[in-house]
Amino acid sequence: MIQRLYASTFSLARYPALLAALLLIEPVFSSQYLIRIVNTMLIQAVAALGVNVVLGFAGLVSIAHAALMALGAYTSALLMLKLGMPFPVAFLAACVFCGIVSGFVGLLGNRVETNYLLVITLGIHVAIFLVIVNENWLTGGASGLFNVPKVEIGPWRLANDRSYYWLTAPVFVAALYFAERLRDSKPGRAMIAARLHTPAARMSGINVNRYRVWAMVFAGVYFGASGSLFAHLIGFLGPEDFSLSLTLLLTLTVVVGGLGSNIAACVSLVILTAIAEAFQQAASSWLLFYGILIMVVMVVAPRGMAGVAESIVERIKRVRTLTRRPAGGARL
Amino acid sequence: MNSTILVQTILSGLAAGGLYALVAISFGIVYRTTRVFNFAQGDFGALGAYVALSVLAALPGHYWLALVIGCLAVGTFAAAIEFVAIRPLYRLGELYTFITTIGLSFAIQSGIQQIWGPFVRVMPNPFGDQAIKVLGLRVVPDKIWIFSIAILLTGVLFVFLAKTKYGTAMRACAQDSRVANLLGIRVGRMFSGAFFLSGVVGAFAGILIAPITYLQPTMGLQLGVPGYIAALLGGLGSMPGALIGGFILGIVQAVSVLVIDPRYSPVATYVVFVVVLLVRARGLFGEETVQGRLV
Repeated sequence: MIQRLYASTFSLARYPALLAALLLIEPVFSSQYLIRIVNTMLIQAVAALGVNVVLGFAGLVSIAHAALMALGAYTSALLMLKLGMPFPVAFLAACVFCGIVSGFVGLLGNRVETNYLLVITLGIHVAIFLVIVNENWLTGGASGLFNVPKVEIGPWRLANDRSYYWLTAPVFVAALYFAERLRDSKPGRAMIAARLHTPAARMSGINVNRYRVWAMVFAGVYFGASGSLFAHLIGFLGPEDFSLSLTLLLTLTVVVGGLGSNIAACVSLVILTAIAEAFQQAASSWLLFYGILIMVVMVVAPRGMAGVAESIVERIKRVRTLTRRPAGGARL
Repeated sequence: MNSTILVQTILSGLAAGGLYALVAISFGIVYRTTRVFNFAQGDFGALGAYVALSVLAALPGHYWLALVIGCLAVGTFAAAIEFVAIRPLYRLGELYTFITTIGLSFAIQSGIQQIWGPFVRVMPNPFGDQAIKVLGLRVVPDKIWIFSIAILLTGVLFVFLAKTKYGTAMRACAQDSRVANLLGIRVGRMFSGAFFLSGVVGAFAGILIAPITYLQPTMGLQLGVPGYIAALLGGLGSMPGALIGGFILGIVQAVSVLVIDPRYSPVATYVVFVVVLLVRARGLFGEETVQGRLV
């Protein structure tokens, strides 16, 4: 429903309008603290859209989101740092690399019942982190990678958070655009059908396995983009930036928003970030909070905010149709 | 590498493998009865170990009492969680219950960290750590004890689930809960019972492994992941398979520390998993994967 509301509001040029709006409200984020949060949020939103494709569209439960972001971040940072590549090349390389790795995981996952994908992705998580922590010569090990280069695109040098916003906002809007396009396209519908009822999807001639792999590839590209943007925003990379709690936050974002709804995922990320910032001192118990919140949301509103909004609108509509006299004869 | 070390390693691998098999079986009990893929299975073990630790701190020396209390506490907890958080979700399908158990897993892990602290804790070893000599090899008795207990318990569970009325009823729920209900089986009670049993067995494995691996909040993953892999390795639903899968995994883990760079040895478990996926995805003994037999 949120989708439809959104579609009707910005039916003409909603993505340029969204981008313009995002760029126009930039002065609102006056302090350094605020603009950093907004940048982080936009970057995480890209990853959350990726999770929505994997979990919300295709119904695959993966736990390697943060690890794939780490892969993208280190790929992009190291390509610029060690090989002196320009940012756009490093960014694209990170996207492609993460997409390939993620697709490979999806291929493995097709060999078993979908639930076991979780164990495979946990293995990927462990493997990526062992490499990051142990290969000091390459990644800086547990102490982290310093001096990640700042982004330069042509004549523009995005050295601070404020200028970086002009990069994160367009990337976020582009990510939203492609995720929405995927949702409305044949592959996206096939993925959603496969989640809702796998045997029925198979019966309708949908190659479920193929679309699962494509969902993983698509999400992998998003994680790569998100990780790369994160690396060059902070300028420092450590393994604990991409812990399992980030994975859990992204999963929670999609669950709270409602499986399959891109817009609701973005909205719920904003809400969760606001909650996190409001209770910052309790940081050590985040995992507990996220874990319990996932369970509560599942029991109370398993279809998330999108589902709640939809049922409210449905109820209003039903009341209206009951109280209104049918125009032009009986219409059932 | 001399042969004593190798034998020692394989023996501790077998002991760990027996416990992985218990986790695999408790995981299988839930999966076969309720179709819930319980990602928190390993965390039940961790929780049991910590509860037992607290009981031991209050009553020093009463290891067996701590074991019983830990198992019952976790079993009750698991049944309560099933009732509160999972039962409303059966109608929505596997994906929803699965996501819930992921939340549960992290909540338990973090809750342990909040209550007992993030540090590594040590549990006294009830079997003593004096090595004895068997056939000229120095062997620590706890490994043999754990190995035997794991096999014994697997046997007991096998008989319970295959031969008793209760076990048959659980299997019936897995095949068709509606028909089972029509035949007079209290499906809800069976579901709670499956979670209770899996909590008890999982906690048992956690408490037994605690003196060897020490306790830390993340031990749920270290116990659970090999458990899931053992379950798949042996074939989902096959109890002898789970036992053999657990042993294979335990030995591979133990030997991998000797053979490959110890920094990368955690990966060995997953490599075994991927190899199994590529070679024989339904596991060693898995015949029917969807609505199969429990044992």
